[in-house]
Amino acid sequence: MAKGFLALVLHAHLPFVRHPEQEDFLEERWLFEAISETYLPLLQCFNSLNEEGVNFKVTISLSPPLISMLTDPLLQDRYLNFISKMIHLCEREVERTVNQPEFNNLAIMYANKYKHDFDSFVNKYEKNLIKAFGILQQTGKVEIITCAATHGFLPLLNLTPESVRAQIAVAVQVFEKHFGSKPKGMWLPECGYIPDIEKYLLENGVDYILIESHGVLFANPRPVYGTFAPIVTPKGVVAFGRDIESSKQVWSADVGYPGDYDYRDFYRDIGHDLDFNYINPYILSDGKRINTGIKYYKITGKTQHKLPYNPVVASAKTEYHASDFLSNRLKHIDFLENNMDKPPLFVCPYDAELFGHWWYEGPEWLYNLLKKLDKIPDELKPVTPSEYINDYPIIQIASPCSSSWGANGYNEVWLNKSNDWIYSHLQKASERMVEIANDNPNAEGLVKEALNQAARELLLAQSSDWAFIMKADTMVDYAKKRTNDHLSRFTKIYYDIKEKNLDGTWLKGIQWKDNIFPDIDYKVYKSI
Amino acid sequence: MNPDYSLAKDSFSGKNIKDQIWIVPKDPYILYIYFEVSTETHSNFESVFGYYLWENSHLVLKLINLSNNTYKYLKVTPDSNSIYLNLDQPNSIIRAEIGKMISNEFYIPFAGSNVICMPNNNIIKEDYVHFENVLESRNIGKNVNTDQIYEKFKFNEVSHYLAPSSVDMFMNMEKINKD
Repeated sequence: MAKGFLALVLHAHLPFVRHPEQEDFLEERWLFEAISETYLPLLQCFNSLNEEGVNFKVTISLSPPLISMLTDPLLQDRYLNFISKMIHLCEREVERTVNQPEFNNLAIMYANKYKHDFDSFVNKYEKNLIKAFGILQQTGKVEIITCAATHGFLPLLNLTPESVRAQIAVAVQVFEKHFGSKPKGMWLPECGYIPDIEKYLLENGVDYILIESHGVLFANPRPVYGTFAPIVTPKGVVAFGRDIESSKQVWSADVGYPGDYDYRDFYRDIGHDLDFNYINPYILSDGKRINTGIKYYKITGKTQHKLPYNPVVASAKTEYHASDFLSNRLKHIDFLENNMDKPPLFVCPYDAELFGHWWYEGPEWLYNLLKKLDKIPDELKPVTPSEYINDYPIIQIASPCSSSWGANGYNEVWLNKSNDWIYSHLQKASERMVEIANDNPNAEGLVKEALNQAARELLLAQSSDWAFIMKADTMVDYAKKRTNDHLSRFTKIYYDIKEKNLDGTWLKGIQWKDNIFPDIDYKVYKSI
Repeated sequence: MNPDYSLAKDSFSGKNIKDQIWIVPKDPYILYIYFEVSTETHSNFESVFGYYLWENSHLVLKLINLSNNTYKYLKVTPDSNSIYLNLDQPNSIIRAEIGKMISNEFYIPFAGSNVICMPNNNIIKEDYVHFENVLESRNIGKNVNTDQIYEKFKFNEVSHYLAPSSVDMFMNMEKINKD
């Protein structure tokens, strides 16, 4: 029997950004960059491990907006345009740096990488990365779970319980459609937990959730194993708490691995560094400079004078950091062994986009970690949360504490002076959605289409990303516009339904724009 | 140009349609409250009590701590519709009302809020520990048709079988003993 267990959980999510009305949309690049820098590298990492016969276990939460975007033909084709442009830029970079060997090697590396991405995306995965994750799940080594429908921050949506129910039920429907069964677990958006949501999780067959450390540590009564074992709520949902130390090793801005001086610097990018006329075809059409993804420098230190990036040295560091991560867990097990009567579980949840996008070497670190873990199954064994429940079903009953993984652990990132104005509007729209769902129990034709679109607009307005962006003070105008747009569209539909004055042409335009959740049924909003 | 903006009717107009008050915790200490007093309530108030009293009485929030059964009033400015309050009462059950304070003894509530529990901020040192086997308990009660079972319980019949009070029991015991 293993002395301890490690549950790696990655949460992959991006807000639903799809603008068919415009060819070159800055925020759509979030998806394209994440495909190249995170999702393809992660698939490659897990597929390689599988082909090498490594017995690894990873849990991945794929949010419904991400599933919707990755299966959307328009965005798939736009990704191909993006990647073709990147290949073109890399080829020019190979020529430009021909007399700068320290950069030329990197330009060749990027050119090869993007050509490989193109080939994998088109030929290996047939443009559908969700299908690729689904195939991985069939190996039993990857467990896919879901998240709320549009990543709504549930503790602040609960004023209308129907909104929480819809966020959970629609997410489960999307998951079932793509993976053929209900998800066993749910990543609560921003790990935002309040007790009121459990009923809807159970209704939808969700057995477990991931919550922040103090969600477990401040539970009532005090969990005897701290975060080193899950707890089960009085209603019956199993809650896994984040391990504090392993989170710090990866997340910490000061001591976290991604900040190592040999790793690639995120900020220095040729989109900002090179001559405008040269880089102009690869930045925004209005001439605004952006990150292209081609970066030649390493973090180097707390200095503006960066040194060239050396991928061989960085690769060796991922080996070292993977060993360090394991060694720290094993030390922790040694300490816990004398204080616990069963093997401890370390739950390590991370944003998937940390790996590759922010921490360029992250997927390689993950690959090394999982490979090393496979060599010490008697000491530390990888596990998925549902496997752990099956192996250790006797769990302490405790009520978790309301919590989130945002700054200071509660609701303040999504509720502060920069974004609090949205909640009265979201609340009003939620009440109205319930009202029109109740008023039209068996709608057909145009009314039904309008009700379904109203549900989509409300869900899109509820995305936690908009409030987060407003607080982060970057791209604020876009976040405000998205909130306003969805609420305005919802309000028009509401009045058009109430006044029996639906505009079919306008509605079609909105359906074309906001085409998320094509199978949604507005009845999910009927009164509880 | 975004044609959708012009299509919103009251979503962003600030027009108050009904009296309402909602509360949510920002963290274990700070409560966020937003509220609306409808134009209809304003008119009704003035028609009953007169314009002068509306203008010269305070709009107040009544904050009720249901955990220790205490409450306090807080004045709010007439043009505000939201406020952050540092309650410093983690783990307390809170409800709020919005109303008018006419005098020290006369308060008229317009709307009551939802009830929330402020988040906990500390480790709870409780000794009782209960475990359950979630794989077994998950199926308990799943295959029971509760609605059918409850069909058998008619309210009038149920009332006949209510548990007797302890006094009743003693009386019956006496009766039994006598018998």
